[in-house]
Amino acid sequence: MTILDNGIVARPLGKPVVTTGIIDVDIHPSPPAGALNEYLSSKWQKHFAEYGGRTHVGRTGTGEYPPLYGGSMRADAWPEKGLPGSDLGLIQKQVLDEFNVQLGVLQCLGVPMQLLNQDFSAAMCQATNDWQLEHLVYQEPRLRAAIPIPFESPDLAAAEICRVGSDPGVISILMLSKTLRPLGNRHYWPIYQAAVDHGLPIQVHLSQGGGHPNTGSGWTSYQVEYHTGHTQSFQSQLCSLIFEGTFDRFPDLKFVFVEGNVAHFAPLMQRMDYHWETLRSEVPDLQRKPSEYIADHIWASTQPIDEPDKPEHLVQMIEEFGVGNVLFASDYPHFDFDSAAGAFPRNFPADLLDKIMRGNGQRVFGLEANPAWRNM
Amino acid sequence: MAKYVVASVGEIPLNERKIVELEGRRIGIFNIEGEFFALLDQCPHAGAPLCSYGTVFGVSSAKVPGGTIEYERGRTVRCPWHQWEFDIRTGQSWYDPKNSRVRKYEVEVVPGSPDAVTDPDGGLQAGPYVMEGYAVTVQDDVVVVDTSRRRPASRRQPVSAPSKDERTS
Amino acid sequence: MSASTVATEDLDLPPKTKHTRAAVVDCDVHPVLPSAQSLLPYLDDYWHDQLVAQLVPSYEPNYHPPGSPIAQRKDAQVGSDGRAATTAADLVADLFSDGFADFAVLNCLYGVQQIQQPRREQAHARALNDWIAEEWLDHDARLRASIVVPQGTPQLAAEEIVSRAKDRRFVQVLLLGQSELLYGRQINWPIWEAAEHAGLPVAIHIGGVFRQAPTSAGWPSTYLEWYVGQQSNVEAQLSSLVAEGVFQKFPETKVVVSELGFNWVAPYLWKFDKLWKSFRTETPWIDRPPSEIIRENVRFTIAPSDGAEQPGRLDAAVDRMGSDRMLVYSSDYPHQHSSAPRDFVNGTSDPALIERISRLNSADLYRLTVESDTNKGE
Repeated sequence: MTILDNGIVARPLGKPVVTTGIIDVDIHPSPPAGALNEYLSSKWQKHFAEYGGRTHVGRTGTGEYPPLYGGSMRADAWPEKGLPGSDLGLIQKQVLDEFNVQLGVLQCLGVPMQLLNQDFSAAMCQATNDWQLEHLVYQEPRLRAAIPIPFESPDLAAAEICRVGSDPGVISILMLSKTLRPLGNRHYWPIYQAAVDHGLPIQVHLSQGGGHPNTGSGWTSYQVEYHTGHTQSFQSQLCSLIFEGTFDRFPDLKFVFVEGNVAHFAPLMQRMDYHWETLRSEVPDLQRKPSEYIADHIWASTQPIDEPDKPEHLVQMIEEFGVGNVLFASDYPHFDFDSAAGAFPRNFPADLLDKIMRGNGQRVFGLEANPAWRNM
Repeated sequence: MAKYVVASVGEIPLNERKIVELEGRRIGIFNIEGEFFALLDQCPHAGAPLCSYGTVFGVSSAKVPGGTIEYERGRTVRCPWHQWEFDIRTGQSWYDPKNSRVRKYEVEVVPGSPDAVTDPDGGLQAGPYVMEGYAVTVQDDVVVVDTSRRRPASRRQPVSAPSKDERTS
Repeated sequence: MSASTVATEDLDLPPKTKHTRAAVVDCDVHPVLPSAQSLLPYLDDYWHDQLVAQLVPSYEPNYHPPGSPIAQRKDAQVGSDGRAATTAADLVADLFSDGFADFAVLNCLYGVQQIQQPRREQAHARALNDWIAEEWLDHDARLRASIVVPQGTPQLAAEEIVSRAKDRRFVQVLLLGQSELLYGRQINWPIWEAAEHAGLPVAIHIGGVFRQAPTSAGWPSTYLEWYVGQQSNVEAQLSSLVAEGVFQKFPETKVVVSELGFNWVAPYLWKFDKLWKSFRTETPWIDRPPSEIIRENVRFTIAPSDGAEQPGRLDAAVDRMGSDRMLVYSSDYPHQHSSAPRDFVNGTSDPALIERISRLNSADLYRLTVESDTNKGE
């Protein structure tokens, strides 16, 4: 049962149209306190009231690494009431209007996906998706939703994709960077089948939790090593997706790595090719050289923007990764937010910036091609 | 470019701040332990509203890992976005290298620059960002900002790897 | 002083006779323990009898599956069992035949570190080091070795370093890329203390203890995925060493990242520096940008070169890393990669860089010199 079935929709939604504005693939909404309750059955409301949401962290409140600064939020993004990202007006003012965002993709993080009770996780994901469609996407036509799913239970996850994936307010599927198995593992195939059946890319967002220590050698102590270490999870995921032949099995499947930087993927691609040359007998069914899968299957969002000492290195590494495969993200309202106006170095090539801000997102999300675009 | 009365002294209580607009720019006036400092309300890194939303914070230092952390309150304003630390008094960003490393950064000397207030024990040293600041005097009961005595913001050349001569073996 | 070097200050000769230069050191080669039985002569009665009763279990690692293309070069000299590098004679014949390397550092990967029982791990490490000394170092003056340590119990690892370092042919400490607890953690500080005190660099070499999943996202299905992905573990180890202040607490520490590539280093340094500026308050003992600390104290072996052997790519990697001091020559013998060890020279047009990688950058790690005809110094 979707919003449309309920007849709640305010007005019909077409495909987003991006002309002179930009695409921001990472905006984090936050349901106001109690907002999800109306979308949860009384059974789950009672469950939540009695037992709360239980994850791989042994506490009732904070996550794995308590965020250091103001709940990981920009200090200037707090509305009068509630958390940053819970006030649509502020999202409109500080992101959509401020930077002329014509397509903003909502990625609602929080615990719903990683609850140990996977039936509860499915219920929370459904509630989140119904809430964000009704209260955000259908109120503000510049927004679309990535839908969180209980990905460690691929059957339940596929069911959620089928339930709501055809809604025009949904533009992609949301998964997280820390998973129990690497993403190329066959365990997740039902999700990928559902994704391609609905023509939806999968956005894999940086995360805590998931069931493993945050490095392969145990837990980090300090915030700087914790935060720097996020790229490691993305590296593991990229290796897995490619070497497991995911894109031979699902030729239409697309992944967007969100908040995992860009530059480090370029040397990783080269390293994958180098060792595949020697060891390809282990993966004989792989149809292409590893790096050849990037162009049609892997995108990476810019935030947190890589800041080399020499700005030209950023451009070089984007070119090595794929100029068609980088997407702009603000990560509003988090503290390490990138401003579309201020994040890129001076002298960043204008045509590349254009691809990052608009053109590449059009391709990933299958948007109406703007005729004016063909001349850019 | 002129002097502006921005507040009466009592209007900015101890360890508080006031944001004013002068000549089209927003400026934050801080009262730190009874002294007044004025800084442009814009972070030189990516443009965040530094004074409006930044946290006044202390500075931590430690001689050795695994030892005591010294902490001195009311020294910095931290950017509300990436949380970089800026010394309220001088506007310099603080990356905390040792004194002996300072020669590795390009230093731009401007009137009222941090060279005049270097920590004699060689503690925190300057990073490559300088915030835009204004000279502040307290005349009788009012706080006056003089926009003519302005220390410009600078985003220095990026820190590059030491040259061959500078590297120790 | 190592047995086969001659330092000018030892000689009482007229100026024109003998000079020394920094040696060409092959910083990563692998002796292969032929079988678990090979260690029996080096164990005491207690452990000898334990193992025999247990049918002498093998700790042969799967870091290079023996039948796979990476395990050994096709042209390597092999023993009667078809395996390369099981004797010093075989290894030395292959390694020094072209006259390029003056010395080679033996990193024995026999998986004692995967032994959970601390005394058993210690006994195996000690026996392995004895085997290396007697059957390898005694056989050729050009061989040096890393000390294999029972890294699961840092205090025991420190003891092995202290006692083994008296044999100056042991020029390095060996740790594996994946550990149970990150190497910067204070619980591991006895290892860094002992290594610094003995004046030995510490190699972090691909491999692992496998006490948990080797990645933060679970278990790779294939060897290829594991091998390529282990760069992530060493990023975590370096972050840990810097963040916990190991380079402040033990300032002489040198780390040699071995057989784990190096192309990934530059974007990692950029991210680390950027985040340090946000989180500096929590680790105030870090007295300069993390990238500087790593540039000064960490080295990376050149094999495998991960594509940097392509024209211009080594220059690009060095430019991005921001230092020409970080790479050291290795052959990774007997392992086979898609390019030969000395192909790295094709990736640069700078002869000075080739010289740095081949010789000069490892000079302060192992302090190995050879006689030189001319007084070129260095």
